[in-house]
Amino acid sequence: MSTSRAIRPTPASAKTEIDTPSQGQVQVAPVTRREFLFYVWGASMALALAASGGVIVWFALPRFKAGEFGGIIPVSSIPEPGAAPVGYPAGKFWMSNDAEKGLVAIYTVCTHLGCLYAWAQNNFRFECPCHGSKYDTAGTWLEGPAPRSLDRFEMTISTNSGPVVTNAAGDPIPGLTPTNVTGVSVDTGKRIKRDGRV
Amino acid sequence: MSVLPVPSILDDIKEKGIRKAVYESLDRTTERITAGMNLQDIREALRGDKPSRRPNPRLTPHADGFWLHMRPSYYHTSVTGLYPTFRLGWLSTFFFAFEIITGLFLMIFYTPSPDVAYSDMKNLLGNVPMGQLMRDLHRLGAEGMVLVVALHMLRTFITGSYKKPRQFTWFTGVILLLVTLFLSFSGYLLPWDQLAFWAVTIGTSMAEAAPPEVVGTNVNLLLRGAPDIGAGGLLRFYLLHVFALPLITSIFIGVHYYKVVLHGHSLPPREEEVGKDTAKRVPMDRRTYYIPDVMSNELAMIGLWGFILVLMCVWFYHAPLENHADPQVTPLHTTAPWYFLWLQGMLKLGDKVIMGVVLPTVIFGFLFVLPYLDLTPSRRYAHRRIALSAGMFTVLALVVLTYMGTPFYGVSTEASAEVTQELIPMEGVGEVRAIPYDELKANLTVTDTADTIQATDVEAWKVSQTPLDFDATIIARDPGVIVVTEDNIEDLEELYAEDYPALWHAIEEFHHLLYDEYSENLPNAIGYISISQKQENLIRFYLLITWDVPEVDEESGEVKMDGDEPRLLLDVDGNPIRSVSGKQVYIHQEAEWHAH
Amino acid sequence: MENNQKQPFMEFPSVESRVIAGILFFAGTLIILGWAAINETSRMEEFTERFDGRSVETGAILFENNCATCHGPDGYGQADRAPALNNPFLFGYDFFEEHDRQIAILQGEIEVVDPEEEPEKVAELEAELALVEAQRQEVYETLRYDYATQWAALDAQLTALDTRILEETGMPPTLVSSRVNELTTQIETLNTEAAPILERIAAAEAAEESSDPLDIQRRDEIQTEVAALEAELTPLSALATERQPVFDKTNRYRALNDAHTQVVSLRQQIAELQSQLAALAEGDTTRTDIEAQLDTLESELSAQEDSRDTALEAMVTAGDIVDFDPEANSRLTQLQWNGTLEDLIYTTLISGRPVSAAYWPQPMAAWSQDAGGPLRRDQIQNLTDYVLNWDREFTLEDVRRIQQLAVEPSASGEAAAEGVCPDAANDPDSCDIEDIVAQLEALTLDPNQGQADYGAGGFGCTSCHFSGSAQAPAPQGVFTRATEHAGNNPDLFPSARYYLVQSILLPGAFTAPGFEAMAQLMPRTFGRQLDIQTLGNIVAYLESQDQ
Repeated sequence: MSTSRAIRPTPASAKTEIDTPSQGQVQVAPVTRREFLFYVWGASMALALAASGGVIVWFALPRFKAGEFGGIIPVSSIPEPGAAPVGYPAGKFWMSNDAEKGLVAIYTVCTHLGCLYAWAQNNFRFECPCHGSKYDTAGTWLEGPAPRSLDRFEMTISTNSGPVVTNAAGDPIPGLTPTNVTGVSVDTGKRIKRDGRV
Repeated sequence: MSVLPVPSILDDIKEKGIRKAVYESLDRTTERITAGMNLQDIREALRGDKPSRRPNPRLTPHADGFWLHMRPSYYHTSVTGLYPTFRLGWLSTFFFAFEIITGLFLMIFYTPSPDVAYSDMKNLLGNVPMGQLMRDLHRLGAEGMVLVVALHMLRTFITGSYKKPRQFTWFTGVILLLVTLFLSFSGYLLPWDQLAFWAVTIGTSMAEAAPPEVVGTNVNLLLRGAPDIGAGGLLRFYLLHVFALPLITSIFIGVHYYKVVLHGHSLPPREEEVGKDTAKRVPMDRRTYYIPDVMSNELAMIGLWGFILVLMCVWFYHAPLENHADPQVTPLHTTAPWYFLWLQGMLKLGDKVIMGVVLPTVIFGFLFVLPYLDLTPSRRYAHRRIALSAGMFTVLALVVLTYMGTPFYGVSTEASAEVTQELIPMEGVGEVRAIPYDELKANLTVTDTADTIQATDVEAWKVSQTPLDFDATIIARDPGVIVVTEDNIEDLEELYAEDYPALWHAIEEFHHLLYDEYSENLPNAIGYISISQKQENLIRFYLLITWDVPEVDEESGEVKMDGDEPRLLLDVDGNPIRSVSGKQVYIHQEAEWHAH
Repeated sequence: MENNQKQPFMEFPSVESRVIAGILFFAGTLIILGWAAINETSRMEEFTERFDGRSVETGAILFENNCATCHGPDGYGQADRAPALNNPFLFGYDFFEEHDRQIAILQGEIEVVDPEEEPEKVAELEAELALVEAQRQEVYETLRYDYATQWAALDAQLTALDTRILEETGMPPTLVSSRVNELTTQIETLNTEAAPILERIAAAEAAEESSDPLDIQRRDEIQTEVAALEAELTPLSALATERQPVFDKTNRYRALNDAHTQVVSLRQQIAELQSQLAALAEGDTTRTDIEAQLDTLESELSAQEDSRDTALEAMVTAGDIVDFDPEANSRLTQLQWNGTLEDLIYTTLISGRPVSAAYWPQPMAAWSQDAGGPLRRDQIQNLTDYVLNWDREFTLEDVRRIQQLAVEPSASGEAAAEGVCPDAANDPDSCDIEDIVAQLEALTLDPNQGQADYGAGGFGCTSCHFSGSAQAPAPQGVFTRATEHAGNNPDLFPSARYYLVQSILLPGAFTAPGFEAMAQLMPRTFGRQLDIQTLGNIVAYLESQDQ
């Protein structure tokens, strides 16, 4: 057993003291086999801990099922082009079909300081009650302190002529009407932030 | 002159050169972190060299550091082996820490409410990465902890380590054993499945039996939060499980281990003179230092047990999850958790109060005061024949009582219900659910769902005014039904054994139950298996048994026999009375019961 | 100094061995965790599938125990009891989805093409469109009118019956009925002749005079003759009575089947002629001929279509079939429900459904514990999963099995009020139990018929009331218990029969001990469903259950 080894007289070759023969030099005794094994052990331990940490993060990160915010939300019909946007509070988005720009799903939260903006039917635009940011039906900034236009979600639209997917910039998709669209799935896990007030 | 207005490492670098300055800075930091060991000291320890400095730097972390201040700086070499401790005390602590860690993570996904607890389980197992593994680890660790703590006590008893001066250590140990049992037991309820609900109902009913009545009733109310287990009971058990009991355990582990270190680990009995305790007087040549020897061993043990637990839970062990708790239906053959089976066994022997409360109280009371009663000085085995024999007898008694606590002993219901329960248990898999969907699909006995024999039909036959020939009626309804008689087993084997092994296995078991196991209670029995397609991916499996009703002795419950043959009950015309009973089960294509 | 004392046995005897073991353990743990992580996604999916599958299994048992009584063992519903759940409308199954899609595409294409520039293409597309529309029409008519299989089965049944009649009587069935008429007329004639004679004899007896011996002789003759005729008549009329409903039903099916076959064949002929016509050049002399033929066929077609509808209506009225309109809206649309189907089923199970003329004449009990029923929320979920599991590609056979469809909202669905106390569910006071018990005294009650009505083929009482049931008291020994109740509470229950009648018609009035939790389960509609005779028979059956 190792007790005895621990108190065995030190062999000369295993000297670990630091000699400083010249300025700035550190002389370190060479690593022994046993010492090396300990370092490998330490590394494996660190690796196992890191892996467990990763597993824990994976474990604790929430996952979203279809139909709840963060997951994919199916929408059966879309508004007519130019009609008022339709809100989907459970999915936290407005489905808006701008007469010129086209169909977008807009995140319900104002980009300024996180208030929920509201639809103002008379002005036919979105207006934020907190600091007065205004956005048009496609979610583009009109006025107010908001730093950028409203965020959009990625949509997959089933049309009579096959599926259409939002591009990476989240641009509205023109030419869609309730008659040629059979369903939309909005991926609320993929929020597209647009730079600037465009 | 300093490089910066304040002294800094830059001055050192300027003075000594970068390598040396950094090395020394690192060295100092290490010494602070380890509370006394610099890089050189650590390397020496790892290489197995003698410490080159005096005083011994490997002792300072024990004296000055937080983490090691409770650990002894050296052990008597005689107690560092597997014998005499078997590391059971250490393992108990390991499991406790392991349970706290896994338990904390499980709390993320759990809400203690009957409305959602069970669906939380579904979410944990089906929507949380590694959720199942985490739950399995926690459950296996809990079972392991109970086992290890009990073995730890047994070991302490066998080596006589409870004797003077360690009486109080033993006393706190018994508290820890009790708390461990309750910790494990309180966790049982949380998944809110049938197993949980009824095991805990049984457990708390024992508390209710505590005399006098006013105590029992109120203890029960305190535990359950209501006369029955419900939302209140679940919350109480949850709080006990995650807060109160771990707190008590932590406190008593502290007291217990403090006493262990204070008195030193007791030496193997033969190494001491009778009546002397020399654990704390360790000769220089019998010292095994914590750093690095014991510490490296403990780290290796953590690795070993962590590995074993993960291995078990990934491939061999999954924590059970039965159907949602149903306060209206007690599953047949419900048992307490395995570590309370001995208690359930005792309950079958006699009065609920005496067996369930008085005797356990006496047993644990005796355990508490054991070291104060047993004043014999010697710890050597040869001198403790009576005590060791009594200990062995107790262990044996526990084993026997545990067996008696299982459903194999003394709980039986109507024979036909026993047969169907065996094949289609209310909870768990059984022979029938183990049949793969495809085997059933290939053996449908009814092609049109409208022809399926319904349970309501059978009930109607039973109460029918005009006596029905059940066997003929079954065949008429489902001409393709699989008939199991005493003699046709070979034909059935030919039909099914090769192509449909699982179905065959169930048929064979059915045959065995009808004609070997319960042949006396079910004379002239015939078994029927009707398999029908209920939905596109759902098959209905209906077991039917018909038999002549035997005459039963009212007192013993045994069937009256005429020689080898059971005596049959006859109706007014002198004909045997035939009875019918059945049980249906549905098997979904994706349910994959057989996969377990 | 190290070796003179025994070293204890350790699991890792040397430092190096424990270091190597330590490395291996950590590496091993890493590998196993990695393996588990790689498989984790599929494991989670598998678990969810398995869990959901088992939910369906549990739901199936619950359905069999609780719902099958009214909705039928396979969910096809029961006439006048409960609508089908295993039903394409519930799942919004569209029989014409593919056709409608093609039609929409073709119509879109036609719109785009300029008829001035590409007349040929337009014609081609229009022909294609007509073809798809014809196919759609065929699917529609098959689903609605094709009862060929059922008719064939009925016809076979009738033939078998006729053969039996021929064997038993030596006469073809038509002769049997005319013979029955003949015999009945003869008996009537004889009875008419006998009437004055009997009167004379009676008058003579009243006057204590001896009757005319001729009269007596004649009376005896007539009586012998009538007895002989009746002996012949009884078996024949029994057979005729047995045959009549089958015969009528077969005829109704035959009428529909004939009309439908005619319609199909006429359509075919018309199509053939039209294609001939199209192939002919303008101004061909045969054209007018064909056009005239077409006119005849078309008027014949519309006549046949009318008679087909009439035949179908007759079948619906007679209760042979439910009228299945494949183009009806899905249930969700009918109800204007904006949630999912799962929500609809789940919430309906929880809270049940009240009686509503525009909705459904029968109530559905609330099944959830928090709404007064017996089931827990998770069981409601199991049941929902089971019902949803019926979703599939529906076929004609599935459709033909449907016994009852849900009432479309706004349609008037007032139930026929012919029961003993039709309004018992809403107004318990309208139900005078004592009066009903008195009415029963005057009737001849048949416990065997009562048992049949009590069972699964009748009102399905046995699905809750059976020996060992946890939901409801068993029928066994019910009369004994009723007698006890009546004995203990003569004020509440004047007689055991009163107790039974009240329990059936007003289940809420008194709950049997031990079933308090299930008190809401028993439908309160038997007052409307049961006529006095049926009620009496059931009561008579229950009164035979004394143990």
